[in-house]
Amino acid sequence: MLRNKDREPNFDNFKRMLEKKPVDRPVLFDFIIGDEKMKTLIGDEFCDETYFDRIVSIIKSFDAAGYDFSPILLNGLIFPRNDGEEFLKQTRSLNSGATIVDRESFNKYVWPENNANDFSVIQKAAEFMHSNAKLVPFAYDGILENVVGIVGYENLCYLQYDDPELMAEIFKNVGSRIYEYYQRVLEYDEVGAIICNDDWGFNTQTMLSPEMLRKHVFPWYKKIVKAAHDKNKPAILHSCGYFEDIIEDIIEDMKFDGRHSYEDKIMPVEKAFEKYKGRIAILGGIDIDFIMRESKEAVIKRAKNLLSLSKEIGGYALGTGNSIPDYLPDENIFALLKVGLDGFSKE
Amino acid sequence: MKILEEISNALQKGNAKLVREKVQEAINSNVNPTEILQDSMIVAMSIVGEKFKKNDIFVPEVLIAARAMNEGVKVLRPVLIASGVKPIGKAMICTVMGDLHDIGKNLVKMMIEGQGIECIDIGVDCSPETIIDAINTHQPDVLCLSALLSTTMMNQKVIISRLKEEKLLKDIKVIVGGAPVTETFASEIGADGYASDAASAAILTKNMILQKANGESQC
Repeated sequence: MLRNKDREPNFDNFKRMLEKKPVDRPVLFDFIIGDEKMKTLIGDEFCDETYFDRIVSIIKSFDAAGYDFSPILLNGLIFPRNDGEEFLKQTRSLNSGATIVDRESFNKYVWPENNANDFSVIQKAAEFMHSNAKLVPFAYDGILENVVGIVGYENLCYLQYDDPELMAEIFKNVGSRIYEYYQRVLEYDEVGAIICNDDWGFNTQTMLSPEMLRKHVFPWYKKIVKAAHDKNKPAILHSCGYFEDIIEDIIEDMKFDGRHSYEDKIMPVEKAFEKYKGRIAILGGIDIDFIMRESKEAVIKRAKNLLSLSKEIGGYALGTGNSIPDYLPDENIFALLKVGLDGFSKE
Repeated sequence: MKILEEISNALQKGNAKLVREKVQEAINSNVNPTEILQDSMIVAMSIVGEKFKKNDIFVPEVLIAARAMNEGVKVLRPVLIASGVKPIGKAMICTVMGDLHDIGKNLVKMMIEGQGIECIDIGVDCSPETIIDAINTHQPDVLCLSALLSTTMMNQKVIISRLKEEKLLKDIKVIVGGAPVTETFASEIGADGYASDAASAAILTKNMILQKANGESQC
């Protein structure tokens, strides 16, 4: 276990951070931890024999690392793709798996239904969680990601011009199901917030024009965030890629409480905090590549600087720019987490 | 010339049908095929590239413009061949071993072709041996290596080292790109060039080919 036993989870602290208020102690945020890193954190307790074993291992790992929450993914709402489970791999083409390529394949497509999900898993999983922590569900990819997955990215780009009506119908079918998924998970008291995970950009621009995202994607997230807020639960956006052209949509229209995923090449997290502090919580952000290539001392220095920047203002959670993949050096990533666990500097 | 402007406008809008018709109309009117290609279609794709670089347009608009260009080239190619017009050079492109992400690669390929350069796409997940074989077969002027991940970008270095061992770098310039790649990294691994986006990659490729043709040693 990385955290000391007296440094217990406190979801209220996490929520306060998402409300952009100063917190008594640093808050940690990350979205996914790789299996090897989980094994390092919880040793023999790691088990992934079943889907539920994996959920429990994730909960234990997030607890051991000092987070105030655990992400949870419910097994069920998976949009069938021609590449089967390929889409779960680390590297794949956004063109692979194209299943709906025209009206005929659209008419034949069997849409997944939320009733296939066993939502009661949330309550069972919570039994393994610290009483002061909460679960934060996310989905098997977001709305744009799933549409790209079942149509193929380049096909989708052509569809925008060749058959805009079909494109709209596909987005509607995916969006409505993901909206329902979040509505269902938000019913549970064990759920403290939600993560909407949907990559919207490349390094230099959004994957579709902001106009298209506003038409087909953002309205669904606006409804999802509202559903969370109606339950007094914050909504976090995990979205990779360029975002400056849509940040106002994220903050003002969809009203996300926090945003995660930063890369130095796109916008260093320090700059993002400076630009958007007080308007949206900035989560994580230390570039994965930086953690991978720089020294442990450099990682510690950057983490301390981020905490120092945000201590008085609030609205920041320490963590990586994206996730904790297994290829990150143990000493660097655990040093980063330790900075958060050690508390704010007295200086 | 009005017809060249019409082709350019139709191409920029991605109207493949109109591009086909207008190219045929230009050919029928005895417009020089090189002018159709250079002064209309390549100019149009350069405008598309510039707009893309400035985020005035997005990938869907680039794809439909490239599709329209391809349709126009299909009509124009027999006339170009008959006139003895050749591409200004040859590029080769792939993603490096371990990396299956092909969106960036495909975009760069389209942009390069939009500059009137032949571009051989050898696919994804390419090992040094695959690349060496393809170089020996196709003899490109420029090799473009794409990597999306922090882990796979290191394979760009491996590939450049192998090309150096095989003494293949004398006649080929290597450009690297991809999400995690930086200019510093490109320089560290011995690449000849780095491009931050597809439009820049195409312009860099063109410049390298022109410099090679002019006998200059460095880009």
